[in-house]
Amino acid sequence: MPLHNRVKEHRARCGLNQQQLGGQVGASRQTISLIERGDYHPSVLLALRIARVFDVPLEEVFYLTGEETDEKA
Amino acid sequence: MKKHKVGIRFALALLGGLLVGGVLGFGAAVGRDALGAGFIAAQRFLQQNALWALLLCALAALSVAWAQYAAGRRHAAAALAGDGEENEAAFERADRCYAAAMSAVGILNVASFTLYGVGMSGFSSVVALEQGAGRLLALTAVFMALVFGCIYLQSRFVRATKELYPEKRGSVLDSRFQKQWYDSCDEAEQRQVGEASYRALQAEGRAILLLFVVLMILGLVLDLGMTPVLVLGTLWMVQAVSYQRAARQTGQDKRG
Repeated sequence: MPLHNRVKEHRARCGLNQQQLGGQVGASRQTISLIERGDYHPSVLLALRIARVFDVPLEEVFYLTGEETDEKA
Repeated sequence: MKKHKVGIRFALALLGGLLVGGVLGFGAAVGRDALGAGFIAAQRFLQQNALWALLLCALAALSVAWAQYAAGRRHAAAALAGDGEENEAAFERADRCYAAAMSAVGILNVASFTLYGVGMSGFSSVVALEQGAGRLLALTAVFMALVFGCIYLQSRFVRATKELYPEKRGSVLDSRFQKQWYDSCDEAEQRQVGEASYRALQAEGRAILLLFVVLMILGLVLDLGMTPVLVLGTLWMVQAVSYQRAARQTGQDKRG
């Protein structure tokens, strides 16, 4: 089930660049960039930290789409 | 069905390995004299020319490292000119260049120790030492220069990387550098290090196995003694034990 995010939109709304957001959540600029591109799925802890910086619920920033497929089948 | 396929694949690999081993072993036994003579000639050639091989390796590796470092500096300057995200491509290019420069110096470091060891193994008797004292001194001087040169370059590359990633910690001159650097990585970077280490572990395992086969075949032809096999076995044991120990510790840390 693909995980999507609105980190870039919320970051722009808060007037932060990747370096600043990374500094506030304990991640590098590179990691923020990877998350925004969907190339890296953050841990629950990092996702919660990011949502807290944006002052929105977690699901506002990270959300799932599509049908769940049973990989064991 | 899946298990059945895996079993067949395993059996085929085992059969293939036996076949290759048998052919190589038979070939080594048949061409014993030629193989032995060829190995001894190659060994003598390397021992006599270790200094030149070292210089050649240094020239190649340092050229690559310096060119990549210079390119990395240019990309880094472009990357740091903006606020980051518009310069994503420049950041990535700078990263790649610094990584390539670091790899070239890392390879040179290993090559320096190996070739120095090969060169030194040529000076096994007092007579040889007396005859080739100048060559021995030159080899040692070049080796020392390269080791210190590698440390200096690695320190410079690390400083340059820190300009791109100011949150990174550690100095190459510090014995705890690797731990400090790892600790300053965020979760994504630590995961990357973990994946790279896992692949390195797999590659090492394959290389050790292959070298065992090579040593077994060479052992049929030459009197290598038991040192090479013991050294390889020790390395294998260190790898296996340290992996198991680290896996156990990580599991305990997770359980708290």
